[in-house]
Amino acid sequence: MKKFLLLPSIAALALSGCGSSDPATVTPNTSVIPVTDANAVPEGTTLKIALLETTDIHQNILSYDYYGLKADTSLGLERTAALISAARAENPNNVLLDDGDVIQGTLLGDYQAIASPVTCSGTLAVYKVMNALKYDGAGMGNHEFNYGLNFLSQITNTDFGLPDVSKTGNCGAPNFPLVLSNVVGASSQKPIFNPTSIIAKQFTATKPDGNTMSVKLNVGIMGFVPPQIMDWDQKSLAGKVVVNGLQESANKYVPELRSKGADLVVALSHGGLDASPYSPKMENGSLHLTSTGIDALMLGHAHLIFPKAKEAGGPAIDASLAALPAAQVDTTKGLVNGVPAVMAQSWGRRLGIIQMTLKYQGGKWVVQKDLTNVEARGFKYKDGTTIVDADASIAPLVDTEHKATISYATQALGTTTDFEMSAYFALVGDVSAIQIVNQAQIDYVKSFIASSTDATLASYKSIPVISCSAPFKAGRNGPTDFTDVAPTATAASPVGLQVRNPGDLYLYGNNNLQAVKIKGSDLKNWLETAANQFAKIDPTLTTEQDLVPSYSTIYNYDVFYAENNALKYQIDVTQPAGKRIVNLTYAGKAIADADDFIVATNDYRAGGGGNFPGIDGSKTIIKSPDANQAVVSNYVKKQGKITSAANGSGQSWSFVKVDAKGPVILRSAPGKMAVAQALGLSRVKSEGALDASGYAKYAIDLSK
Amino acid sequence: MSSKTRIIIATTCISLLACARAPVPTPVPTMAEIESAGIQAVHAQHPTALSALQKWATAGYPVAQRELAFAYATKPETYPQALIWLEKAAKGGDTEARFQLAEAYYKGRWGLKSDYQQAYNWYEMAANNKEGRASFMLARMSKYGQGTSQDLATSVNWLKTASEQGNAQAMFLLSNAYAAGEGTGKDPVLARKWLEESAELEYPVAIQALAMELETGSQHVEKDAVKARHLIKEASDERLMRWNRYQ
Repeated sequence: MKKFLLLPSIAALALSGCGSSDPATVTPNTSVIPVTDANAVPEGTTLKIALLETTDIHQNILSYDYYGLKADTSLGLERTAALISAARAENPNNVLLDDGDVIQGTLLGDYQAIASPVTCSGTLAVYKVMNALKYDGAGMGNHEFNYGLNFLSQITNTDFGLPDVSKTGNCGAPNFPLVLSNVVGASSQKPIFNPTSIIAKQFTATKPDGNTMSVKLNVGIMGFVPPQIMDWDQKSLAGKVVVNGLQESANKYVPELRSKGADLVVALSHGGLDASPYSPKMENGSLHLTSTGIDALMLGHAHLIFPKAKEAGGPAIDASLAALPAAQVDTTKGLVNGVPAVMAQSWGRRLGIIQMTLKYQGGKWVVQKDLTNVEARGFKYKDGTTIVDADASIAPLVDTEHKATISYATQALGTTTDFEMSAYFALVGDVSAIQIVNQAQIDYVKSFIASSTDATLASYKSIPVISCSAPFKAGRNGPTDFTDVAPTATAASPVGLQVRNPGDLYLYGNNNLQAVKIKGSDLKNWLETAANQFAKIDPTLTTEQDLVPSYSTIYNYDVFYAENNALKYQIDVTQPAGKRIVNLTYAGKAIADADDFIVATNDYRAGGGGNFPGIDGSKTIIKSPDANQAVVSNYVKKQGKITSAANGSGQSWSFVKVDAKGPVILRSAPGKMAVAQALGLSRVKSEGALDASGYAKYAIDLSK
Repeated sequence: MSSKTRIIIATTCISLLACARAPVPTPVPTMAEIESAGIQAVHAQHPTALSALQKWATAGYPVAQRELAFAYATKPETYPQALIWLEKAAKGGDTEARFQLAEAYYKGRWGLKSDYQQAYNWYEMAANNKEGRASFMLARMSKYGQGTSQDLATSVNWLKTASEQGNAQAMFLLSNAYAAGEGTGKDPVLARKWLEESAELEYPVAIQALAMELETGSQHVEKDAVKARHLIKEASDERLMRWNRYQ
């Protein structure tokens, strides 16, 4: 893998080029007998080619959502494969390239890298598919480094030449060249992948007389990743590799590719377009590659569509691309400083197609720039509505891995629960689906602080750690949209939780755990803002009143908890917003404005989501790279068994008792009266009629 | 990264070192050359790169002084040298140096004790060079009276400046301020505009806010479950790139 794919024929081609019948280059010495090579390419011969790009596949092989465990026809390489077939039929002279971020992004990716790592004798599922699709070459993306250098070395069968990285044997890998030009070993200064490769293609060209002939075209490729991989994967990369600037690297390798016989040079740049002045540190520096002598530019990383989608009703050009200087970037034609460029969005949703016409002039192939066409073709390219069918040959290739991933998602987590964890009555006091999240977050933050070497964090050891989380899935999307894990669980017959269940308890996989340090006054304001989810109840009214008028922002109903249910508060729904929180206590004592607390939460809330007073990023003391979902999963796994007594009945809040004259109702899923009874929620009196949307109107007795 | 180098260096006595791979001191280095040496010095402790930076820094190039400071900051025992060079670069006008020096004072990094007054001054110097992160920090410091008097309207003005300078985190808080009418007039249209721009520039909080809105639909957007799911999926893909990117 460390050698250029420099074929002997390249030299021959170069020679035949020199011996062409171009009058300008033929020596006038008549004593030399002119070469009459039948294979020589006549001047003026034209060659139409297409460079095809996929990028940011992120392990979306099938059109499938592994978290929802259901089909998702909006993405997947099995559908891109159909786009590839069609593009190949239209463009018989084609080169299929990938621009990186292939190996990470779905549960299948994590399964093959972490849960059950693919062994040397195996080939990563996505690479199997790419081999079957006969890719011609690929670059790397930043996410290729997510699982460490040893794993990357194995799955690409590449010896990085780094001291601490194990050498691979003959492992399963892509059978097409992989290139990366700007990552070098820290000590050796040598590229860890081949910096370039020359792909020798046999194409059909048209001679000036109209007849066709077979010609060789050497397509040189280079690859680039953003320098920020040193931050993103610091743990596995620091001290081992260095990422050089895009322009510096290209300036070195473009001439090298040309001297080795590349007729075309294509940059596989895993980065977007940024028109600010060049720096070797910039994340999206691809635009600055256009000055290095390349013929075409493959873009990625930004997950955008470039140029503007051509299909009927397709999306508008992304605002960040539209804002680029028109003198440099043509978002309709797909030109960057005159160089054709394409970005095929992400997850296999599009195929980049750069059609170029080359003319044999002066003994070499010359790009006819005005005949270039660029397209980022999507699943609905035919008529703007019909989604292309999947290529039926793809799914069978990864059937084993796909099924293994699904059974991994549904396999036992190793923990049982003796109670149903649901959100049907989360707005009237039930915490059965929330307390375990809070407990997990508290556990994480306490150990984070206990093990921190940071002097400031260590000085917080005596401050109480509390936590908040919201009922994310509590009726926002209709009467069936409620969290309900282990509905049949009872003390007599506990239910085993599955690997995927933490994802039900903590809906948003994008959240990172964060902690904020706040005062008692901030806590009170926080609770007041959360309590805005309740209507102001007028106890004198005899007409029906909705306790929760809308579920649309119910993710802002933060429920707080402290270990041993030491934090307690009540909500007086008869009072106006901002004056509803009463009897706020910690360990039995009223909380004073100046008391300190550390709150475990997520990056959305800590960063200002929901506009909670003073919670705007300024009080964040812990930013964790760990996902809340993973924190919950690890905690639940560690418990072995969770029980209603320890993990589901710590109701930290209640209503100030109100004797309302008329009915007060909560809309929830129908048929769940038994759930309320099992929870001992006596304030849920009875189930009433269905409303027009199908929610049942439960009568709530606020005097209980 | 928009600092302009104006100091003219002595053109004599900078020797060329023979090394094929690492950057060498040339009489008039470009900013990219200096930063390339900085990359090698920080990540590979490359001796040639380090000596190049030392020569350029001594010759008075603020970018080289900043990069040299970053190289020294990789080890606690050389924090003092790091601070000396960072301050030289900051005084020489380098935006990134000004911002990082302010950060070191605000957060008590590189062996410094937290000093809001110094932090405020250097953030302000960086903000004058159109550094959005610095303007954002001035908004925060004004909101809480850190190194300056506490004033909500001033804070929101700095949010506006930071947003105009392209800071996505500021855009989100500015959107909150317009939505609630806090420190500025209530303006739902501007609140919406800045929320969308913040998400466009990938501030994770804004992305999630938009995604959750798309899940149900709102007065601003039609319900679009696929788009909502894609936004969250996207944010999940990029979670590990963004967890530590913001102030």
